[in-house]
Amino acid sequence: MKVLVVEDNDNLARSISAALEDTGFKAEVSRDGRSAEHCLEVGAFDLLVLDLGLPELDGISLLRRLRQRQDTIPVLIISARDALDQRILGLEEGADDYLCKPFSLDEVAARAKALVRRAKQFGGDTLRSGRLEFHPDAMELRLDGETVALHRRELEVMEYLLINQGRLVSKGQIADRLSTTDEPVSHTAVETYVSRLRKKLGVDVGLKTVRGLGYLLDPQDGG
Amino acid sequence: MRSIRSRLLIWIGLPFTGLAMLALLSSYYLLSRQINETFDDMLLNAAERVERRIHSVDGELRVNMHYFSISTLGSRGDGKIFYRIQEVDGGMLVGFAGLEGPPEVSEQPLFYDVDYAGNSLRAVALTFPLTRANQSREIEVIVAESTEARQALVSDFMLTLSGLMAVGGLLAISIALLAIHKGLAPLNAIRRSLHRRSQHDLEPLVGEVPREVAPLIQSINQLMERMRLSIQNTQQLNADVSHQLRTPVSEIRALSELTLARSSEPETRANLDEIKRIAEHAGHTVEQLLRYAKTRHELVDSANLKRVDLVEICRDACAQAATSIYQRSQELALEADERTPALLGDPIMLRWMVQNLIDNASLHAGGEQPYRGSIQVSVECRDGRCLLAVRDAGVGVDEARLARLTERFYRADTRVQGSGLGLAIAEQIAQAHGAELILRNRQEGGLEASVSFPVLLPHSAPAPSAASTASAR
Repeated sequence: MKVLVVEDNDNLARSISAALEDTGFKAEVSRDGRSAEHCLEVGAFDLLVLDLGLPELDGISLLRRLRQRQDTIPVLIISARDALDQRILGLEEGADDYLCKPFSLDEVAARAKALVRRAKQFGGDTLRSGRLEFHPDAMELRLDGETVALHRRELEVMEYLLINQGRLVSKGQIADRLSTTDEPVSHTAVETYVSRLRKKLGVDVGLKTVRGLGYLLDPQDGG
Repeated sequence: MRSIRSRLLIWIGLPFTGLAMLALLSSYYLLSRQINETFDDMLLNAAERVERRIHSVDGELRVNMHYFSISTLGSRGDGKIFYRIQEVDGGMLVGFAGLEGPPEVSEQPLFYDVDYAGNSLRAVALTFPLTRANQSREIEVIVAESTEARQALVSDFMLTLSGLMAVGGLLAISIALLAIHKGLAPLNAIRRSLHRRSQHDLEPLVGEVPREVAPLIQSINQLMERMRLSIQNTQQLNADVSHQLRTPVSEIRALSELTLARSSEPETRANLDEIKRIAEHAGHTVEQLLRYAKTRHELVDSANLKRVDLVEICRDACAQAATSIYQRSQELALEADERTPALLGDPIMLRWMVQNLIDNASLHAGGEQPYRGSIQVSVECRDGRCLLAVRDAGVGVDEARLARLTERFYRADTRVQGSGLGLAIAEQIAQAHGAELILRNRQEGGLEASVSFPVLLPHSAPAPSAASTASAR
């Protein structure tokens, strides 16, 4: 997995790329918007970590250009400006996630992994959390290496929870993900699938119900 | 200081009352003189007519008073008439002998005031030569009339005049009041428009104003402009501090984490851990200080508040907080009335507030121990108010310290890391929304932080604010 870190501060660029390499990425660093744009045109990256305050070409403009070119590369924004309005602007312009300085390197790595995971949600790599292991190609869930017999819908719910592990997922989001035009899925149905999942797994795998909000799969091995 | 209205009233009223008094006095003086002269003429006339009534009978003078009647005086008849006719240096002919003569002797008819038999009289004395039966004698005639008629006439007239002036005066005062009201109308309009606008609206006053108040309005506008600039500077400073501090703190934090991951030497690791912790704390404090500064109520313009969905804000804040809450082995629940009406607020600040209340519960609910219970966020509506509450089931807070929790940098438990600003920020945000942050220990244990918001009535949609120069962000 290749990541492009666009950050004009040397210390941060070095730290972020080192942390990402520790997590299994191959990282490249750009110091300004123009060279970042050039790198993106040349190399095939799986993820872009983008600082908003950049010399030459600022982060938001770079992001806007990317999205105008129909480039769907996952983008994690890092900004020194204050939180919410910047965050909203970034997400509106097509960023996939947002981190505000000062952040922890662990957080950057976790978010980066989650973004890549979500971008390749169909097929692709095996998903893991604690004792759980999900193989998307075979649509198979294993608990401690043993295959658990699950209904297709339950597997889809589990896959979505694993992709978004460590994040709060609302029933609406799961329902949207599961619904097709022919076969809509209600919130009640989502509750049923989750409760059957719990029963069939039989052990606590870190799947929490957050009352009034949704579900959260607690990543028990750091993602 | 006395109002402009009463100043004008006094300055119009007092001189005009004075003038009216002067007019009455001079009228009285002129009128009395006029009436006296007229009556004196008639009195003299009567006295002169006496001459013709004197005739001599056998060398003796007689006065035929039969024809000398009161009516001949021409007064209205309510006056009393006294007379005395006598020869100069001679005997009394007819009349009231006690009637006093003139104070001096004169060839001309002489008018004088005299008292007689309890009456105050006006008298005329006249001396003329009389020739009857070849005898020539000097005759003195005094005719006196009581002054009641004159006085009655004067007081009648003065009464009417005073009445007219009183009516005129009342009319004048009404007109003056109306004029003052009309004249002050532009000032009142300015006062109303200042009163209506929000406390933090620093837009200049616009619109037509009378020439006289234009400089005042200009000064007000200049003052507001200066305040606006000063607030803008403060906000710019906030943004600068924010930017300048965030990046270095990030660097320290990132480098300490990176080195920590690479190092295996125990002492170095322990130190790096500490550096990392301090950097985290510094970062958090910088963030909270900026939020504290941004939510200062003098910087919050209530005209910038818009319709917001509190449940949606709580849901966002909870979703954001959920990951770290569950990492700390705590639980989170949201109980919200879906039919919660919109309220007037600033969505970003409200989110900070909910976030701070959740963080406070998460960090401090356990007291000295890390908290392992649940945190409940609830939104309820009743009695036209919307109640946001964040409850935990922890150890609560010593009652004596409850009130101090919202003080800046006051920390109930110094062992737990925190900026000491979270609840102060939450309180400021509540105040900016016309609400109050209430902290209390729950009966079942734990702390409850609640904020009760006024609900926006469906028909009172906020007017879109053009006056949003002083944006809080």
